[in-house]
Amino acid sequence: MKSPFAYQPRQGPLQLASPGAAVAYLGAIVAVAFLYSNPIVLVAAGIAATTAGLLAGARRAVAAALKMGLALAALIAVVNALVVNRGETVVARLGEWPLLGQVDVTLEAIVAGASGGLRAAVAIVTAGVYSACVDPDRVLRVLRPLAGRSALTATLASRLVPVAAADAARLRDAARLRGPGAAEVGKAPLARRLLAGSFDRAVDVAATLELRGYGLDAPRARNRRMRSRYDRRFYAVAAVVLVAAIAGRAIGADDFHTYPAIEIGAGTTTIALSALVALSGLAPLKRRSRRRVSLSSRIARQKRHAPEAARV
Amino acid sequence: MSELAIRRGAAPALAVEGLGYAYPHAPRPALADVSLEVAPGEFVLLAGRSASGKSTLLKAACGLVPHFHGGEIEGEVRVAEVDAIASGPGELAAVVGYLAQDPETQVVSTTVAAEIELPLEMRGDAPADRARAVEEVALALAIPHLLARTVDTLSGGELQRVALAAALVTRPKLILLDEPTSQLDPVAGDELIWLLRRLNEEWGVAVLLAEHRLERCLAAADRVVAMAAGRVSFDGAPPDFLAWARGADPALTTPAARLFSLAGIEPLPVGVRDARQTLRRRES
Repeated sequence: MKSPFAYQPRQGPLQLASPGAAVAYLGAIVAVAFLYSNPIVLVAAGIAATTAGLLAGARRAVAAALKMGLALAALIAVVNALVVNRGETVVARLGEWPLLGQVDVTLEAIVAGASGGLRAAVAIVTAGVYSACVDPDRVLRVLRPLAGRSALTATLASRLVPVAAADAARLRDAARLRGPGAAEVGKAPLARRLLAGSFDRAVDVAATLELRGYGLDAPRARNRRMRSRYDRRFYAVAAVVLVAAIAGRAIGADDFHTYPAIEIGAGTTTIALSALVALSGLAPLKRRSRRRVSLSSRIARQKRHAPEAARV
Repeated sequence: MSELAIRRGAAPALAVEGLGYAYPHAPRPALADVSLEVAPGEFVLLAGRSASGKSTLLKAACGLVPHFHGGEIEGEVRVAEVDAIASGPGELAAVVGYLAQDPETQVVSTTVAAEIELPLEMRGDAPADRARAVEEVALALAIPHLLARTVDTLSGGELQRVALAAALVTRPKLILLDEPTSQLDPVAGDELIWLLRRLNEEWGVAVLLAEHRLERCLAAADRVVAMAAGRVSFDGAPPDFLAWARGADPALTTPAARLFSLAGIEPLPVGVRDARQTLRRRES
């Protein structure tokens, strides 16, 4: 089954935007998550990333990323609660633990961990949306003139992953088809065989790249076609979000302290910034185009009505 | 004078002269004193058992040997008057296309359109020219409906067509195919061979096709070159090849030719139509 994070070509604004515009837009959401610790702003950034993904049609990627992100957030919260003993509100006293010593779980440590986890979740969801919506071929096309070797490595790696997955499935099937009497083939020998095969496969893919002219020092074509009518929208939203986030931080919109007691700032600036960040998730919204009637269908309609007009 | 004979007067699509080659650390050479010419627009079938040197010859014609694999080479290989030994595979990509056995390792992009466009982009063609060329080759190979798809959603046959499109998009003079049907089902394999024949006739691209299952492509070929132990052991028309193979290497003949041979029916058929005509003549 195809990975939910695999790129899926669609005619949405985010998919049609140039890689630069898409990266700027999604990068702005991630930047907010890393600039702020306030859970209200982080939740807004999460809403923005989720909305953007859903509007871009990447429902599976968003669902999978949310699952991963929230699981990671929960893990971070648990680990932080176990290793940090600061905070005034003790929720549970778990006694002496090897290596950790006296473990007192505090509400403040849980919230601090959850805040960090939320930040990681926002980054994961945004990365999931990027992976499912931004064409890697276009990204590599931009990257090639700037960093040829890196682009080559990325091209090889991105092709070898599905090839290795297909090889692994075939090897597994071949092992199963040896019949019930045959000795079971362990995971380690299978992995060894896959690794040995993957070197040959890498050589084949590299030969294909060579034949396509990858090693040529030819003049790179101008990529005028890569600009999209949606670029301006994504660049503008990214700029507004970034400027607002930096300004908001300067005037204290990130008012959040966990130790010794929890203080969450929910002032007008924080709420306004959160609303702006959450609304930025609507940027991939497709404007409904006005229905246009083509000349040929107009002529066909006139022809259909012509006999009736003659009868009248 | 046949059209092919006239074309033979023009500069050959492929000219190999005294070619010898040994892979690095190999105990014996893979090719020895190979001389061969393929005329523009000619469809040549390369026959031979495994390890006879077919694949190595194709790799030498597209520059992978010696530029990619290393080793020692002697002799001369020219593709549409370009020296294949002096030039690398990238430079040769404009005049020669190459299609290998495994379609999975022959695509390097995420979408079909980007895959076909890549050689033109590498060459520095303008976006409008690239778009036009991609559309043309997609139409010729009957794959315009695949252009917007990602390569991981394609079947083996579709993937092989996409790889062929990427090899043909630069409009090369010669296309080299190394057992392109070996991983396809019989229907997809037959379709690919007839697609090649059509492109050979319509675009005038010369074809050098290495195949094991000769019954599939013998009828489409103008000429057969057989190889054994790195040398050319036969070079001639398909009916003559069957007559030669019957004595020299019966494993290379087609099942129908073997059946005719056992039944003592002459001449040996190159394809189904030939077989039917021979049988009809005998009945009458």
